[in-house]
Amino acid sequence: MVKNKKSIFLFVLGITIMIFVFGFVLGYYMDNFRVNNIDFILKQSELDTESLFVENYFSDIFGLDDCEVASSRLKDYSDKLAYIGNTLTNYENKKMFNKEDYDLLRRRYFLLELRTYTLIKNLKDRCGNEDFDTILFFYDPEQADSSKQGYALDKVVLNNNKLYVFSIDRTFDELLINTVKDYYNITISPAIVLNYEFKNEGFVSSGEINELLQK
Amino acid sequence: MIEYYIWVIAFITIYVSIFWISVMFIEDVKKPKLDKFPFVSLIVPALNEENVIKNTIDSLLSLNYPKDKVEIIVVDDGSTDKTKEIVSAYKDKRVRLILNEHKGVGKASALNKGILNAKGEIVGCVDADCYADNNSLMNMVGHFNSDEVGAVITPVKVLNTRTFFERMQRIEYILTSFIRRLMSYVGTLQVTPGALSLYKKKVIKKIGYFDENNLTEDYEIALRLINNRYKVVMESSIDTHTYVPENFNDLWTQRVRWFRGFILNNMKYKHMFMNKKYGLTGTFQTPINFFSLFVVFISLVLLGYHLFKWLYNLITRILILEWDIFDLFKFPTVKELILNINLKILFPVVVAFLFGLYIYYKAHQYTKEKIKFPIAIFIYLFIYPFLRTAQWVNALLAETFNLKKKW
Repeated sequence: MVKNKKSIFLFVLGITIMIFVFGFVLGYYMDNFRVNNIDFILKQSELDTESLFVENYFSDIFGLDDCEVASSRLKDYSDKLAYIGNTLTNYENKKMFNKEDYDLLRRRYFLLELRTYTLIKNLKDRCGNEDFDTILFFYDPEQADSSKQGYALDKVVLNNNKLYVFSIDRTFDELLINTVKDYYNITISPAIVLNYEFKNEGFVSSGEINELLQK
Repeated sequence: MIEYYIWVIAFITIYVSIFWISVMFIEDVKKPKLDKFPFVSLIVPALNEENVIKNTIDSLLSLNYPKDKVEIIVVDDGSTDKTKEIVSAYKDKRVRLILNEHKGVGKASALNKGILNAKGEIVGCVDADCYADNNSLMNMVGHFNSDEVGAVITPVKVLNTRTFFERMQRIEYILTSFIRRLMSYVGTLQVTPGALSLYKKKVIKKIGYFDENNLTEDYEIALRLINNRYKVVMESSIDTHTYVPENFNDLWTQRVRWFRGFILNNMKYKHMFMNKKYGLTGTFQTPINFFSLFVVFISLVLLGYHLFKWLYNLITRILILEWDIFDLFKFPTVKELILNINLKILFPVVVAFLFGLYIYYKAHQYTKEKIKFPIAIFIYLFIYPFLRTAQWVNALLAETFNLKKKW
């Protein structure tokens, strides 16, 4: 029979704790790896947007016609932004540590979205281009209706190459997001703003969105 | 929420696995000396066993033990086939047939009848479809030299491996026998399988014979022995071979009965839970028993909830996207795949699984069994746990609603 049982139990506890500490260390490095990865692609997108912004500003001042070139770049930006948004949400759900880093990344991401959103508005006004549409989507990550609205928007985007969707977490505490919410008077989630003007609060189906876009 | 639960479950699972692995390394099995040959009465309860009873009796008659120190008592529990005739045909005086007037009321009643008629100071219970190794008695009886030992058991191996269900049970029996061996070493063994278990008759008399109203009398008697400060030990050098249920229905019925017995008897002996008086059985084994039950039911609730949520999301997505869902799918790069690994869930699950695999491998090594039947192994590891959970739920519901007990 086992003698000195206490030492066996303590030994086993020690080994088990070591295994779990190893798991936490692995998790910590994985989180850092993810944060760095998102940080890198976010920086690239920030530079892209900055480039477009400067180009827009330059064209405005010097009266250049860059409308066609700028418009053609938008699709690529929009796809990258969507990819960053999905990846960020995905990684955040799997995070073990680095909550502050993720909060910072989300803040940068939402700011980048709003910057691009305003940039497109400026481009639209300057070029008088009515070929593409924008939707500003306010969601709540914990809400089922917001998820449904996200799927409906996926459906619309799949069949519309000229639509740019910007998704903003309505519950995220950021001064600019609050300003935009106040500007559009967004009170509930989900909510969408079509082409900078038409606001709808509550779930809207993909068919209804398509109808609204055609108006 | 689910990740915290998984971490807690995995922590306890890994802790218990490492504990058993440690025991495996420090195990120092000493064979007890057999300096006298006490009289052994082997009791075989039988109910319609005409196909197997002859082989069982023959295997018991050929046991390597002094011939004048063994008797075989077949207790017929109301067979309607040729069981009685087959047993009566034996001319050997060591074979006795006793008729149990309480026909078909359960094995415990037949065992008690056999014990009351037994001449031996050691009584053995042998299922009618089991075969003992030749040296079983020689190797087992010596353990009774210790006054602390109330019962001695053996590893049980599966004889029939033709159907898929039999093959799965083979794996289960290998693992169970291995863990029981380790439990025996640390003194937490709490079952005396019907296949072949020996008891001190005076101890069985003292603690009040087998409980005739119990679904799993072999589990109950072991708990009662421990409750009365006796030990159950396993002699690992020999095996007993048994037939297991060959189809789904029989397996289901057997397991639900076992699990109902487990629940009932753990309730009956709940005072052992975390009770230092019962040594490691109280402070280690009974909490593990409770933990296993807890895991089964909480896992079911959580798994059900998450499965429902996932299905609801999927269906909602499919309905909204109208099958365009497949257009959204893009093959991830290797980097994306690696970064997408959910360590919070995967790490504890994989580590616990690897420890399980190691124990599985060692169990085969210790029991001198080959690793075979890969499909059965796969099903046993990944699908059978769900079946077991369903059996547990059935058992719990049957106990909650006090359904009729079936032996």
